[in-house]
Amino acid sequence: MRINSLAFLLAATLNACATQVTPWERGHLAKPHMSMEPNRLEASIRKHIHTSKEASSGGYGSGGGGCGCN
Amino acid sequence: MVRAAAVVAAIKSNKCINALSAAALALPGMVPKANAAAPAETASTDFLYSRYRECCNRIDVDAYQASAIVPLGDRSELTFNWVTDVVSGSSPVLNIPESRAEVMSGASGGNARVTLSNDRESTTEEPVEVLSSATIRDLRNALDIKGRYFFDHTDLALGVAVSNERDYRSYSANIGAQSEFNQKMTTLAVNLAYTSDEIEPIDRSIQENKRSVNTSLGITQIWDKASLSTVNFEYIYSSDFLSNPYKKVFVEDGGNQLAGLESTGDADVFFEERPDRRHQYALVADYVRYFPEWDAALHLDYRFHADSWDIKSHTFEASWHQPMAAGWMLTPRVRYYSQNQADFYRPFFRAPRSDGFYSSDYRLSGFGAISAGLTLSKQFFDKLRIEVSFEYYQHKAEFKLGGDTQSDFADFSYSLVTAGIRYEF
Repeated sequence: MRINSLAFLLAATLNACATQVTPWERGHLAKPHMSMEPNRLEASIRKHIHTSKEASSGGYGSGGGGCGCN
Repeated sequence: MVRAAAVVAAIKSNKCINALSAAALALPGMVPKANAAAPAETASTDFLYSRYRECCNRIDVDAYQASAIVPLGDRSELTFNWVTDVVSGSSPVLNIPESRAEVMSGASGGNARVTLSNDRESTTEEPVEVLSSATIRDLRNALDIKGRYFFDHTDLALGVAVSNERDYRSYSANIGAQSEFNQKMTTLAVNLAYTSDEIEPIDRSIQENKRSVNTSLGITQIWDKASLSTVNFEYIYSSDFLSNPYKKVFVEDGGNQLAGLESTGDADVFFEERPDRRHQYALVADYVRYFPEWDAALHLDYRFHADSWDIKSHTFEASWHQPMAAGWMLTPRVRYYSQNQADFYRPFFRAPRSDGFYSSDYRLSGFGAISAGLTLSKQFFDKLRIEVSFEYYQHKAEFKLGGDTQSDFADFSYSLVTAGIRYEF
């Protein structure tokens, strides 16, 4: 029930800011370079390197799998 | 209820930014990546070779990645990812004061090698990095498998991952769900992961464990025909052995014994000791916009990260995806990163600390990093795609936001070259 209320509030809030886009108007959004991660493996190794050379991790939603990277 | 009322009030006044801020405050938890979900229509496979070279004869890595997405019927799919890393080279293990540095010439790789002198004098000068004396050679194999089942507006995912090195094993499991609503303009995603690591360093007789729980909540919103954005919150709780078993610290006048620290055998040098609990919070905001006049896409990302070790960081990334004639695509990108140091980090220590935590690992220091890269890809028919990319990364203390906090002794750079192929069946 609380989740439904939250979803309703969220939808109402976002509706106040977004323009309705019907499915047949989403040609631009469906282009490969409009996906959040167009080059998946390349992005994954770059993020893996950044995580092993910097103190920050998380936020990008990558799965698990730790390493003892030096 | 008060917060919900605030959101409604903001909506009524039609103040978009206020409404978004109030909604964000009303969210009860933290999480990862929300992506509009649909099962893959056909199977596809990807291979990527990456060549990582760190400056100054440090670490070299050759990485081989393979990935496959296999649809199973109309409502489910399986994803496999395999990685093999071949690692060699040397890594910084310790910083010592200049007066205690003894330079050994003729070391492999042509670089002078620094070792610790037994002449114990005043230690008020610049730190000098000491690299691992033996060349590191390691092989890492990792596999993760994820299954997703798609309902009408929601999909559920279950995944497992394993990573194996000679001195480090990692096992993890994750579960996630994402749901579309608001005429598929909005996607909400939640994820939960548990990771258990076993650490058994090759030159120490210890056997340790590390555990982590990741939880995340993300929302993707389509704004109009040409733009969308994602906001993700992630919270990570890690516990037990969070130190790096190979990293050492120099503590002036520590002698061979210091409470809570394991001696390395060299006077004043001990294995590092980090707290056994860490809370990390990350907030990522991505924005993607299409420019019809150039058929191009702009991607902008920002991440704020904070943790209970007093580290805060900011990451900015931008990339421009420009299609060209005959299926070619050129993607230049830039990234800027800045962090402040952990509260128990020092290049070396002039006195014992009261909390007993010590690290001189450059990754916990205050620094900034700038990187830039270029990806070139070519699509053949609708089936085959090849790509090559190059990236150059520079880590410098002086790049840190707000200026330099320490000397440049730990500055380094690396280059990354990748070549990949993707085939859709």
